[in-house]
Amino acid sequence: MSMRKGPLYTVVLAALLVLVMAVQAQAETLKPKVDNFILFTDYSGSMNMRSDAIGSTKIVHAKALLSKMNAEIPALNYQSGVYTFAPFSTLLAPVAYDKGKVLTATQAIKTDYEIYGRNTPMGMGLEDLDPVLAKMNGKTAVIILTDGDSNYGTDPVAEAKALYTKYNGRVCFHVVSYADNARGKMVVDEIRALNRCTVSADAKALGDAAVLKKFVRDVFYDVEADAAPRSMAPAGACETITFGNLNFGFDKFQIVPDMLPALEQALAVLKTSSCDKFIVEGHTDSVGGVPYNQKLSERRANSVAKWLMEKGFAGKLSIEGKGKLQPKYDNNTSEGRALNRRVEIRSN
Amino acid sequence: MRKVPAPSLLASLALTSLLLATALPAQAEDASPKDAHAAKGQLLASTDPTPPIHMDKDLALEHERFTSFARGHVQRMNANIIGGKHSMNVRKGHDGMFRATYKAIDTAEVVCQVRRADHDPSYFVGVIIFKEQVLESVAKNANDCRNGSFQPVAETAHRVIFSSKRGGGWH
Repeated sequence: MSMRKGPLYTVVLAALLVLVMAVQAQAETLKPKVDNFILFTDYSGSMNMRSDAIGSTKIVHAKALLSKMNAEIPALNYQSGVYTFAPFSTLLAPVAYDKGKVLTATQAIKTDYEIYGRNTPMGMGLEDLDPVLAKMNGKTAVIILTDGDSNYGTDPVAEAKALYTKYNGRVCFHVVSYADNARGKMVVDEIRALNRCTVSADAKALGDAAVLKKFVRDVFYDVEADAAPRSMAPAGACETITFGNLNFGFDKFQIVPDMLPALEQALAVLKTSSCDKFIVEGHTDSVGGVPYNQKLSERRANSVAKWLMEKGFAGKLSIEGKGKLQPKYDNNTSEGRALNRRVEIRSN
Repeated sequence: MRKVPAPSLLASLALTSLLLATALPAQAEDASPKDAHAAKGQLLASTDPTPPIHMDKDLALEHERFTSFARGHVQRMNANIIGGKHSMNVRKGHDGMFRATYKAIDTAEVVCQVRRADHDPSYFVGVIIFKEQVLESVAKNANDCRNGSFQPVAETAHRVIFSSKRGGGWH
């Protein structure tokens, strides 16, 4: 009798397993975030140098990473292309995404080229990519694998900025950083800072499968699962600006010359913001009474708002002194109290 | 014998100048796209009073210093934020499931920018650009959700602006 029941249990278990998998698959629908993507690899001499951080030459690592990334990208009707810069070359012209084609293209990246005499004209590479981008419909993600060590030709940050302006929301650069010197790290950060759409990634960190999976998800698709809705800050969303060291003296609220560089920077950000109504909020730490702190924080917020208006900010600015009533950080630590002593500009 | 008059020499010079004026643009047109790109880059550098960002060595060094400072600052923010990981909120929902949430800055996505101040080049301005997220874990009991997998469910965009007088460091 037990022998007849054995196969029955197996069938029931298998059916249950299939049912569970079907339910899970149904619960997770992948929705593409972009229509096209381009894998854009830095092919310069510096990329064929060893990086201690990753334990290999950068181009060898990049080639392997492209292969793993390709394996992770879901088949969601993207158009895909594979290019290099320094020098610019087409390894795969835009075509309906096919894992095999992208793999073949990335495998064509050589890793035994000469280092010397091979500069990194990253700006020129971005310029050369423009005609490719111009032919793409919808939104395009450009995944740039680079050490950012641009030492020749046009300014890559200016070129990237120009492309963002030209394509107005249809293009986003995601830099996978192999930067291992000061210039490279700065160039990478400057390109990332151009637009909030960017997903940052460090080449070494992407060696972790979970990190790579998250990067691919963040760039390529959303999951419409049975989960709480995500209110994620979209690219171009209004941001909160905090002054990190607007060092008002004790009991002081006047603007002094040392504060001007930070105020100028804030003004520049506000002028290019897509939001036009802001609140300038003053906050203090917990030391002192409520009325004193409220007045002081209001005076400081007022000083900042007045300066911004006098320097030509045309949007709407309101002022609030929160005193010590809305701490963001723990007032029980000196670090927390220092962080609470701040002026913020929030969108209204 | 008659001497060559001066106007002939002047005419030769004029002709040479004219020839050079027409030859140089033609040479540029014949140049490869790479040369044209490079020429454009050099032209930008020579007419710009401050070097372009990617060629500014001092700025690159300052960026490196600021990035190191920013790392510490973000750690301090995460360590002291009210509702942070050290004091996560755990509550039971109507569905009987437990939800743990906490606020944190996504350190993987922190971007640092450094600029020379517009009005006074002896100052640098440093900006930390980041997202502040609310992360959530859901489980059948409080302990499991505290130790479970947290996913971002909300985020807000932030930047913190610092200034530093050259040589003064960041603080």
